[in-house]
Amino acid sequence: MSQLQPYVDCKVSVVMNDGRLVVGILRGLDQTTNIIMQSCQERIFSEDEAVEVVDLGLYMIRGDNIAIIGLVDEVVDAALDLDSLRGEPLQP
Amino acid sequence: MLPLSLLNAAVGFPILVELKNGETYNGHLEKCDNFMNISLREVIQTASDGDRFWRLPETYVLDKVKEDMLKNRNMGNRGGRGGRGRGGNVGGRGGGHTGGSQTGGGRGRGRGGNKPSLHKDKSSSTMANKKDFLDELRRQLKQRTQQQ
Repeated sequence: MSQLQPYVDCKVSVVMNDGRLVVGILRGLDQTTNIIMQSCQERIFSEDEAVEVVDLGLYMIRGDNIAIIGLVDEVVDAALDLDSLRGEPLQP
Repeated sequence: MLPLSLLNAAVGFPILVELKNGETYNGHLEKCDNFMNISLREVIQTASDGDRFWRLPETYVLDKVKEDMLKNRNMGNRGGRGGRGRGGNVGGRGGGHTGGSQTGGGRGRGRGGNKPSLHKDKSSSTMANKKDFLDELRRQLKQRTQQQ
């Protein structure tokens, strides 16, 4: 758990067990990797349309449903042109 | 900040709870505990395919997926919705479907069991949850009968 301490207050990208990708600022976490994220955005990819971004606000996600937590490089993320990104959505 | 402390701080606020089977519950958080069991009031349940049900009685939830704090954003909307009025209409369905809070003991347990959200890899912590959950319900039931 302490391995995620450095990520607190940073922008993180969370992949969930059902294949959803959520990006937000990590505010808190605990022993079972439940996390609190602020200003969440869910990014939905598809092969035909532009990336769909859904604003979610303050979220608490339970640890059993988290597959990956990754630190987001803000520079690279800002440079992403979401309109032109295409991709196949992740499977559960 | 710890997720559990955030949850405790959210008592009284409207929240959205999404379960592992995709159902979402919108309601005011009444209580929560250290196992993250939660109790909601004025709940609107939405199935994963978007059909809606109304539920007026208290709802007990075990093993949630994630919670979204709607908080200030939705305070105004909730007031205007008049969910309570409509909740009364479907009380029958609600009662049949979920089992009201008053007889929370057996029904609550039943709710937990019905959901596919009680996941394939049921950890030992879930069993601990259930035992304590039952104890808690028995205690509450005792309190309520004493009050009556």
